[in-house]
Amino acid sequence: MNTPIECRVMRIESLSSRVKRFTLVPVAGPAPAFSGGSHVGVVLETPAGTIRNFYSLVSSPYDQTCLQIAVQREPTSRGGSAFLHSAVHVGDTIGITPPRNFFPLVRTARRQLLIAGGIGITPFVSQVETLLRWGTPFSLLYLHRGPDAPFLAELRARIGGRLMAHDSARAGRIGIESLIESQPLGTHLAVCGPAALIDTVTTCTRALGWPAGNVHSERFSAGPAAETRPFVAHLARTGVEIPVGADSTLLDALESAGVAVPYSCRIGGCGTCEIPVTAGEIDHRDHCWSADDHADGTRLLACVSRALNGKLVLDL
Amino acid sequence: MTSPAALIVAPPLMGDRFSNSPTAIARFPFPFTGDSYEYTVNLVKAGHGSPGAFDEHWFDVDEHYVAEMELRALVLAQDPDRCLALPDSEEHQWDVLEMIMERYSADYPEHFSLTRNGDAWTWENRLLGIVQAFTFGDSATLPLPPLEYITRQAQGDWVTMDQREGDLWMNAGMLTFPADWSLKFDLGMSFEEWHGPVPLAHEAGVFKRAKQFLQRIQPGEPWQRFNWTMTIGRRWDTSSETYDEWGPERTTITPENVGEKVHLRVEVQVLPRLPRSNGLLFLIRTYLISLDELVTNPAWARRLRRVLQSLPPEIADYKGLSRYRQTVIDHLAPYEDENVQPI
Repeated sequence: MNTPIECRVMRIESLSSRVKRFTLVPVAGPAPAFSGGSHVGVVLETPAGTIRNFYSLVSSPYDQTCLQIAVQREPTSRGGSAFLHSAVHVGDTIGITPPRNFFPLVRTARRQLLIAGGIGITPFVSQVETLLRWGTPFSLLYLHRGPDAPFLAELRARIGGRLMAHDSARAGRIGIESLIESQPLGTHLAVCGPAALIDTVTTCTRALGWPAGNVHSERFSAGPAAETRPFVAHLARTGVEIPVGADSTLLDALESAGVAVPYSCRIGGCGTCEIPVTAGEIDHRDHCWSADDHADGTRLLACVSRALNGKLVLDL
Repeated sequence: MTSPAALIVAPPLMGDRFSNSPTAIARFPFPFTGDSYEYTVNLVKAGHGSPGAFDEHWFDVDEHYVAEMELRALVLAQDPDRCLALPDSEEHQWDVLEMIMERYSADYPEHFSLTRNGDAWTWENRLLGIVQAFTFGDSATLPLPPLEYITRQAQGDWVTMDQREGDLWMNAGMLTFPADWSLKFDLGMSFEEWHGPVPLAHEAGVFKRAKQFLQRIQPGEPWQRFNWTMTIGRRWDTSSETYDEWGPERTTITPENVGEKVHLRVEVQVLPRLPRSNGLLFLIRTYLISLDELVTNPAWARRLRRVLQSLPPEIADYKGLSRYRQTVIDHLAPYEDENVQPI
């Protein structure tokens, strides 16, 4: 992981009752360039220890004077969003990792449909700027609950009729299926939000025969947790056996045992924490690799994937 | 400073201007880490070398800078199609320009400087005597398209790729010094398509794995790998387009001229993520060393001999060195002496 970029907090604004926008300016040099849909890791020195949280950039990729993130206060968070909301003030410095993009736009798309659920709106805020610059025809469906929704007014002012806002508190469920069905051939679809929304969209595109390469999704969590059972990781090169508890991940257990593994997203979305497996059946739980990759059986992503039958032998 | 035009005196061979000083030999990127040939992806993080080494910085500038840039201008004058760009490469080109200007001015402040005031930039290249004020992002303010403008001032060949739908697509490049390939032929191809001619590796799944790796390269963390072949004469432009000029020279190697004519050609390939376009940059930074220069390091001579001995015939054919491989092996035989210290 790169050394963090030191940034000064220049402005903090409330975008809704739960979401604040932080404007960050690097202490030295221009803000790093990034592509629409990128995120940064924010390194937070909290009383409970160092936390690294990931947030989409919501500033324009074409403005190098600052970077902006939008943070929703999560009652169930590990403390990162609560810390940002209550303990970070204008004038403080915080470290961020260089921007990365696991949710890029496709430059050759003839048309782009964006579907956001709740705080899943954030990656689309920067992508809208890219689509406007490229001149790609697009629509953005923003599913929100009530008028207290971040970016609603800003997006309406910026993209006008290309924004389809749907307040599910007032209007109930929306027919996403008919919207997807009405898209012309060649459209790319990007969806970001809760796992249930992504599942609804991808089930629909599969049923309609969309090419998998035209459908892009980014989750904001590892998804609904399937049942997890403890297992043992046997490190072939050192002979060490590492127990992985039901409430832990292989990546966590390896780190606790002092085995350094490169990682980034920690929710099975980026493919960074790939580890070679020499024996044992793998329970793949990432949403990054293809079915072929999963059938290969010689590697897994340590942040989410587990043993199917109690034990894995790792080439570590 | 002598005007650049006055220095262009020799045909593309330009032998003398590219001879290697003892410093250049000492920092030559000798690519072999073992005594036998192995086709590997061999990726390591770029720019982590020791001070003065070829990989101290992402983009190496060495004693051949001015000669290489003048040779590039000569090649382009004869064949402008060595620099090509597809219409979807505009953002990639500006990313490359920004990255080279930022890196060169930070890593070689004695030769290059960049002043940024919002989008109003001023670039100064003291090695070539250039001062250019322009508006970042506005091609009309530069005398050439952004990629051609900056790579006429940057050592190595440069190729950009767009990343989409699980693949990498070549969409622009400056390619005056390729090892027997052609930008005009490969432009627009996907990763496995342009690697089509490489023997054995497809079967081993090398390209599928390499492609997955490359797609995960992140901004600010470039990777590098070696590639190598052999070239007759100190000839930089071994493109497919000029094969008729350099191909026949492979038949001219004798025990008498092998040390002077046969060169080890090493590419240090550097792969940074292009931050705004989300594309990938492929720098092919080429180094040439004659056997006469190389054997000043006897351990290198012995290792090169052993690698050539273990080379599968398909690979020797692909690299175009089957005709003279044995002559080189015989020439390097004295370095099998057990007094040669291993690397």
